[in-house]
Amino acid sequence: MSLIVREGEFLCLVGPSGCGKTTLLRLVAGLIKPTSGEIFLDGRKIEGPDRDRGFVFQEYALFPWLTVKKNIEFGLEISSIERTKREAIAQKYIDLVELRGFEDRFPKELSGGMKQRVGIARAFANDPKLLLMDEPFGSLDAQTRNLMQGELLRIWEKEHKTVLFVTHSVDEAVYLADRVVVLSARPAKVKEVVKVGLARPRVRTSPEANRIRDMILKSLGAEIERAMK
Amino acid sequence: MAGFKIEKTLGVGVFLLVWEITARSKLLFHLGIIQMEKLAFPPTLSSVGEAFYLDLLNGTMVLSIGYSMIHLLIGLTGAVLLGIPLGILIGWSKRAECIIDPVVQILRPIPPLAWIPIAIIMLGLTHQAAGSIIFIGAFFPIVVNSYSGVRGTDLRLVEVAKTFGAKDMQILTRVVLPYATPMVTAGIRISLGVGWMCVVAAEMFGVSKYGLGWMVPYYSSIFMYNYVFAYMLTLGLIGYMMDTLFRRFESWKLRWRETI
Amino acid sequence: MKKIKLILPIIVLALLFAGVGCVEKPAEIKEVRVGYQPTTHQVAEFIAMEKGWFKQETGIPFTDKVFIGGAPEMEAMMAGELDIAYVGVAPAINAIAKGLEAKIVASANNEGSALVMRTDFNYSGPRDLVGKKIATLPMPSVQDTVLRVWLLDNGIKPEDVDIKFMSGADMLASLSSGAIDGFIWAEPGPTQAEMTGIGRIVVNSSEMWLHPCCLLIVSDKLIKENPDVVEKIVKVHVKAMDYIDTNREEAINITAQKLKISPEILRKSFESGRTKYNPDPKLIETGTRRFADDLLELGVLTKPVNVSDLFDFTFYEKVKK
Repeated sequence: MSLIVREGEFLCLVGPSGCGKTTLLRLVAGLIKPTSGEIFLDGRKIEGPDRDRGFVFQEYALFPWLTVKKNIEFGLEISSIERTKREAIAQKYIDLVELRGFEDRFPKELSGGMKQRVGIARAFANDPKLLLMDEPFGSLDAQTRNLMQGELLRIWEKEHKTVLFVTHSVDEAVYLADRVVVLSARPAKVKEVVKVGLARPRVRTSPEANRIRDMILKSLGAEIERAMK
Repeated sequence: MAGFKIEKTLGVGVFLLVWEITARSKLLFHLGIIQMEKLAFPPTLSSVGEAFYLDLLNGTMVLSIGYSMIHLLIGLTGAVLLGIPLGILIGWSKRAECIIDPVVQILRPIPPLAWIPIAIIMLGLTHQAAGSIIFIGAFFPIVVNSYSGVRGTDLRLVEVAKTFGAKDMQILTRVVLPYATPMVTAGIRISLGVGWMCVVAAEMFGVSKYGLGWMVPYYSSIFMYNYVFAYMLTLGLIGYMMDTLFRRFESWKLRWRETI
Repeated sequence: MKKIKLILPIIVLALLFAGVGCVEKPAEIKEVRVGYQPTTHQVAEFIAMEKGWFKQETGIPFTDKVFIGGAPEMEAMMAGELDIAYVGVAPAINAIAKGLEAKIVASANNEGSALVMRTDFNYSGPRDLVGKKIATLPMPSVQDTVLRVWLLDNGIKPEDVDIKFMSGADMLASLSSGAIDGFIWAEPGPTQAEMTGIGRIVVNSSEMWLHPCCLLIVSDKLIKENPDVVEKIVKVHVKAMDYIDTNREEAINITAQKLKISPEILRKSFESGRTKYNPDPKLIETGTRRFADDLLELGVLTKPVNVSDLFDFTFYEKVKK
């Protein structure tokens, strides 16, 4: 498979279950090594995980022994950024994800949506070149999910990071992405790349959105059938 | 257990009542369990109380508690300082595990008491010898728990750290160790209990004139069972208090933990 | 129906207690169990057992059991494991005072212990023991009691000496390894220490005071139910005590076998004259009274004891006639 991601764009990956969307993301992150082929970021080959590629997990993966503030500061501490600067950055992102007042809470005290906000803030705070998000809202209920999508866009628009976003939900992809990549059934290939040229904030049920969604669903539907055979 | 105050007092009350009746009626002698009628076994509650009171007054009790605590401290400190790093090492490095773990597994089942002659020959009849027996008892739970804590680290969290650019050492100190802390702390609490139980065995070979463990066989050989029970009770109470205090400290330190 | 329900448990209880009573009913004794310690103080026991005199005289098999000291020996007797015991006067007084139903019927030896220090220890008097590690048999023992009172008499608090409890065998090992500075124990220990070069005898226990040491005690049960057997036991004991003097070489050989110690050491031990043998219990009554006072002073006894009640002189008197 071959794919090019443009800087500053929000790219969504959709595909049938088990096709390897998450695997692809983890390859880009450097958490697993490819059996063949190479991945480049800004011209440099990816050899392993590093701070230029941030990751947001579906299960939040917050450090339970650290407070919200300390979780967000984690990457900054790894990079040895000195304290005052660190705290300022962390505070900025706490405000950005609207968790002011929860700085000293532990993850166990937060709801699912709040935890994911911390996860996002944590990844953003470290200022990576590329942000990889693996179905980050998959564990949330529908309402929170919609809310979080809006939140994510709000944050993203401030900094326009390059985002690679994996999801099961076509609705979500259409709402969020600049382009949607439809992956085929296993072994995954790029079946189709759909451009979503709609201005943000988007109306989920607008006719254009519906049209694009139907198109993707059709494409995806065929793949799901193939995967089931 | 909160509440149930009536049940709690009833349980203890009945136990004490049965005890006193058994003591005063010489029941054990009549049942043929004790051979000598005049032997004060079991001792009456009042005589146990008296023994308690007298040895508190003359300072023996406090001194004994002090010596036992010192022995426990010697043993526990050694176990923590040696056991935690060792447990972490064999949890972190497969190579280290293969080299060290077989030895640990062979030594672990040997009861601390069996080490007493070796302790004497190497350390003489000293407080260190007593502490060393407690060390043996306390060492293995700490190693095992530290190892488990490290091994059980949620790999996802390790991955998270990697995506922030963390390297091996940082992963160890910032993810693995904090993650392992609950297990390590539990290991220390278990070691505290085991070590305290070793106190009697360790002090029995007379490294000092006092020490709760020394008092039990001493008073036994002069057939003053009221003192024997008073000291056994003290051993139990102090062990219980230490465990409770440690648990309190544990739940404060680990207050970030999800409770079931 | 109700009456049966009441009667049944009563019958069961009655049977239970009758059964308990049945266990205690004497008839003939199947065997006599003897306790002893591995020192030359109890040579009489070794001779009597080895030569089978107990069995010959009473027609009952005797079995003996070794104890490292008087304390564990008395614990065993208190639990009903022994019928007669060769034991030190201090543990005997303590046990009987605390409930052991037994009587002293004869003496086994007097004195016979010594304070032994490391060969390189510069001993000039009891003051030198302050702060040093001295081993004795666990409390209460004759040696421990004699040592403590001797220290007190010399103006030294026993707490100021680091007194350690251990068995005699451990004392020898500890002295030679330097884990202790000295010990006080019964013969042949001190002689053995000197002859093997690990220690030097500095004070004989007889110099501390002329004290009774080991004696023969017999359970009240045996006295009450089989007084004829007890009389025969005392008779054999007196005979064995005489034998120590009249057949010295044989006594040495029997002891050598029993204790697994070389005859040379035992010969030297006997020659030192440290241990005195006289079976007459009357002679040790005063010394026993003094021990009782000492044990009270040391806190081993909690109230005074009527020492005459500890003795039964009748058997020795009958035998001597």
